[in-house]
Amino acid sequence: MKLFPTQEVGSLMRAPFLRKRLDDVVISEAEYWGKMLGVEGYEVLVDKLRRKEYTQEELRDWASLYAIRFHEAAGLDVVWDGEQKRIEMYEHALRQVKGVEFLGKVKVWDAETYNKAAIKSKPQLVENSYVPEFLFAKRHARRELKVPITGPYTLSDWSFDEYYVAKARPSESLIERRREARREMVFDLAKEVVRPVVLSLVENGANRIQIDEPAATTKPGEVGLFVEAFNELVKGINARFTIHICYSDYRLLFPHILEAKAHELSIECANRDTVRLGQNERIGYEVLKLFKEYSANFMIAPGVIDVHSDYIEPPELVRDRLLYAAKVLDDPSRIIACNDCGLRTRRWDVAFRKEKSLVEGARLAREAIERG
Amino acid sequence: MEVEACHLGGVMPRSEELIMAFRRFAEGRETYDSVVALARREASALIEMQRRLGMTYIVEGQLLWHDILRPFAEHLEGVKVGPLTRWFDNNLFYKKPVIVSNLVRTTSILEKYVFTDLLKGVNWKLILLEPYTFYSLSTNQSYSRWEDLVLDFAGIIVDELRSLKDSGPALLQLSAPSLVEKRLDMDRVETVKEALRVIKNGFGGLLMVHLFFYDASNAFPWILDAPVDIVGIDPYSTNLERVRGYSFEGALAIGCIDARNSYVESSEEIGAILSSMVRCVNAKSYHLTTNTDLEYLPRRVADAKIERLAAAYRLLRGGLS
Repeated sequence: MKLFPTQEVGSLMRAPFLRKRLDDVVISEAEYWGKMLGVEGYEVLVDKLRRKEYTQEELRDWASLYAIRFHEAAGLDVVWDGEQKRIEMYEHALRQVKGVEFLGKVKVWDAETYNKAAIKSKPQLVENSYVPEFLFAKRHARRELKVPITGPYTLSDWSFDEYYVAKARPSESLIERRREARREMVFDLAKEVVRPVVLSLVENGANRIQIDEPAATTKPGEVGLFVEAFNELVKGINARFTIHICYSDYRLLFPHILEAKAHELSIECANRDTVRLGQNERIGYEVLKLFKEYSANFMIAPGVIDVHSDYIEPPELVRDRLLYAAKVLDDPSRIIACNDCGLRTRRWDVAFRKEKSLVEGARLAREAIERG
Repeated sequence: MEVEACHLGGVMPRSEELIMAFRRFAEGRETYDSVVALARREASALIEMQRRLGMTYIVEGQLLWHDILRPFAEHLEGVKVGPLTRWFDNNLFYKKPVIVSNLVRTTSILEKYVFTDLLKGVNWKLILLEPYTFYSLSTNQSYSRWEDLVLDFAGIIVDELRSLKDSGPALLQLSAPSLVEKRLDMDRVETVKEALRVIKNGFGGLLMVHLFFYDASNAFPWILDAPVDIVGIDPYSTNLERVRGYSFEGALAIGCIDARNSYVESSEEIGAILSSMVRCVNAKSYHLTTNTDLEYLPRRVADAKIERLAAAYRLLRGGLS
């Protein structure tokens, strides 16, 4: 098996032509990227943009194709369409669910907000945009695909609960009532919302699924619940599962995470690391020692590219991060090269150079191992 | 048993219009003055709403505060605004103060962030962070003794309150999750009490410590002997069995409204929560409040909860048996 295989983590900034204002600059960008990435028939899109003869659905398909070619042209082994057809990871998932009502914006920090939903009745998946999205990508991708899906624990943690807490028996203590309500809500989201999506994707040929759980460690006492829910949703499904958790205190995952029936764990590390070259000490990757200490048996995808900075990591830095991670785990075959998280916040020119660096850095690391 | 007061337990959410104004300001498309003008209008409406509902103490919402630490992180000498950090166990983040040298107050901070002119003649409530919680949420790169940082911050709170002169609050709430996140050792408790004493002695109004997100029993019984007039409890996080049988000579503020969930409690549910707490802890009097800040909710949901809290207060005022 190839050492240090390369993967993306999900999102990519929207393609230029999905922006609200379609002016000449945007059309030039569509032309530039289409040519540069080798997008077949991009001239057709450019012509449609010029003549203003397109539908939004067409543009979303083009965006998906551009993003697939973006990752392929960068040289990644496993690709996706950069979530070009989704709103964002939370709202997109719950817009397809009955029993959910969006109540309005709540603060995440400063002026950053998200549209938060309440669970009003037992949630049920009533639409499934993931299958047509996947089938489109499958038709066009020349590399292996990995489909990202938001996990049930995060959907629960980022939502209000007006259903489970209300139906709990009033005689129970508030703490107990809340705990039981929470458990039922997470499991319903796993069984009634996320699992049907995963099953439908696998039935249609998906064999790599990434479950995004950025909220996994938000409530330290519920890490076990997150793992139980994950296991429930993947139970008996024949696919390769990645769990992605970012910007979290990974120490809190232990020991529960060892029970997760996942093949890969993708975590953010580059954001905490220095940009100095070297393989002897890397502060951002110290957390990997825990995985070694606990003999975690899944593959680890430590982020070697920081997605919150325009700094382009040189391939040598990527190489050193990967080699250090391999040294900590004492097994280079258990390391996957990827970004900290999706590249949604980076411009395409920055994101592309970062992905190229990722691929080249992984090649250098591979060479170093093979040279012994 | 008397339910003698009703007030909100924390910072209010901004309206969508105000959120957008702050975003435009961050992007350089709006002036700060126009953001402040909008926030002022919203604060005024919020004050009027609480008056109409008969709230005992009125908050102005603290709508200009990005987080409860930020005014101090931005304006105290010796502090830098640090990285985004998770606010306890919530999907909400604050910017961690980094203490690079000893704290020095060189300007009046609250007057930049509180619409005190709207509160003239009003019994109003200010919400600040309790000093030990401020310390535990900061990165200390300066003080060799953490106790000195806690006490210096307490002194700064007093100086700030004094700077407000006649327009100061009638009630100061110190939000204090770090006092109950885990049980503190007695050395820490003594420093916390000393800081509370500094504030109590320097402030002429009522002092409340609000214990939320975690089990209030982690601060029992010492908090009941601390120099405070009111202790706030989050019944959604507190195991009542662990506080059963205690007595308090001051008032207990019971956070009967869960400000982290959109489910709007009925008056009966609020009454039941209050009653179960009253059966557990004997206090001189009881206040109705929210279990924490309301900024976890969209504004219209927060407003609905405030209405319900006030309705419950009208039913329960003075009449709890």
